[in-house]
Amino acid sequence: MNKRTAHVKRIRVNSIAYSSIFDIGDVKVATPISHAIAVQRQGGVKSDTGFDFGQFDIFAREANTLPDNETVRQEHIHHNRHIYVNNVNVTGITASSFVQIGSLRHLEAESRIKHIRITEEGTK
Amino acid sequence: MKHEVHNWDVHVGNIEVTGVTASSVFLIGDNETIKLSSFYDTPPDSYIVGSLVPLSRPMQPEGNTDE
Repeated sequence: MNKRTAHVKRIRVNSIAYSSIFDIGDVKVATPISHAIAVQRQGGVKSDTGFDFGQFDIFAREANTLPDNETVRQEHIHHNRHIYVNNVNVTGITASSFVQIGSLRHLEAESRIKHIRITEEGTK
Repeated sequence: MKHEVHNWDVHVGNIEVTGVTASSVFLIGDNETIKLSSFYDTPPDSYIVGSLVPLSRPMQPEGNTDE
């Protein structure tokens, strides 16, 4: 994998949360995975008991990832392996996400999110 | 077939991103393989009216709601 040199003049990242990665440089392999359950209840959610991943089959289901095809014979020639970044402004990087300036060889990411809405009885 | 790529340098002027979330990637640079998979479902047990919290697994044969 050809390495690159990153010249960053100014970058502003407001928040990085929940095992996310912000990286200036080269990465060989990255496999971020995030699950999440988002509960919205009328009157507010007191605690997160009663909502665990085992209850819903979306989290147990097999991930059908794409087959890795090394069939394409390719050659990358870097005449000038520099990256010049003038200004980047990122407000939020969350839920095991990845912001990178540089080369990244392999990335295999998976995310499963389940939204649950609970409204009081009889209210329209 | 041989796929040949000639790279010179990469200049980025100005980028504004509000959010990168849920195992996503924002990359400035090279890459060989990216595999992103995401799951999304809205079955009946995603919308509950009343204080019944939450139902058990939908595929249980007897379908009782107490654990």
